[in-house]
Amino acid sequence: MAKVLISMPDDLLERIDREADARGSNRSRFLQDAARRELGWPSGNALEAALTRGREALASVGGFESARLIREQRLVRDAGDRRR
Amino acid sequence: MPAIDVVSDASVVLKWFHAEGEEEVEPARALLEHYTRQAIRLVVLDLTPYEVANALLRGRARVAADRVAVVLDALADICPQVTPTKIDLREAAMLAERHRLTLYDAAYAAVARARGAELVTLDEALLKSGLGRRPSAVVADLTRPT
Repeated sequence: MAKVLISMPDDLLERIDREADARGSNRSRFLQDAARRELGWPSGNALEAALTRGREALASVGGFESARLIREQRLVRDAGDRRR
Repeated sequence: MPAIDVVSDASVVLKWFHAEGEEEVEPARALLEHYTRQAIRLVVLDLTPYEVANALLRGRARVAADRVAVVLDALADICPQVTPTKIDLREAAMLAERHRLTLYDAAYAAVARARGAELVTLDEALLKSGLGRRPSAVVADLTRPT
């Protein structure tokens, strides 16, 4: 993950830190969330292109039920955590 | 109508890319149409790519790594991935204990609660706990005339 150096008024930074702390978050996460909200939605074309790429990658992998795969993997990880 | 917040878990995310043998593909994908129309704000957790990749690589699907990488790259372009805060994780621990869920399940529910968001899932444990809803139920609400 990239690290960036940005300029910001002291009072704004103080407000950010106070709010992040109140949410149990931190400065980096707070600013990442704010940026995501500000950037909003991807364009329809970008979303469609991403979906096409992903679907083509899985086009020939055969049939399965994703919810079952995810459940199995969560239980495997959970069992591993319990053994630690 | 203001956009509502929706957190999608990995069981729904995979259906955006894979259809064969899957239930609820249409409603899972309809969520993306609502997202494109800015009727919902859609996020996943930072945990989701790991869950998606693990299921594809290590589950019975045994999908090749290069294909899994394409799916992860596509997912990153579709919606933001949020990191649970300390408060979310505390809530997740409580939900996990109360509903006998894994912390992985409960993390989704905690993040959704903190944001006042709908959690869409097809995971039986989350559905039985009442902490998440099926995509079809959420889509039905979105398309219901007001």
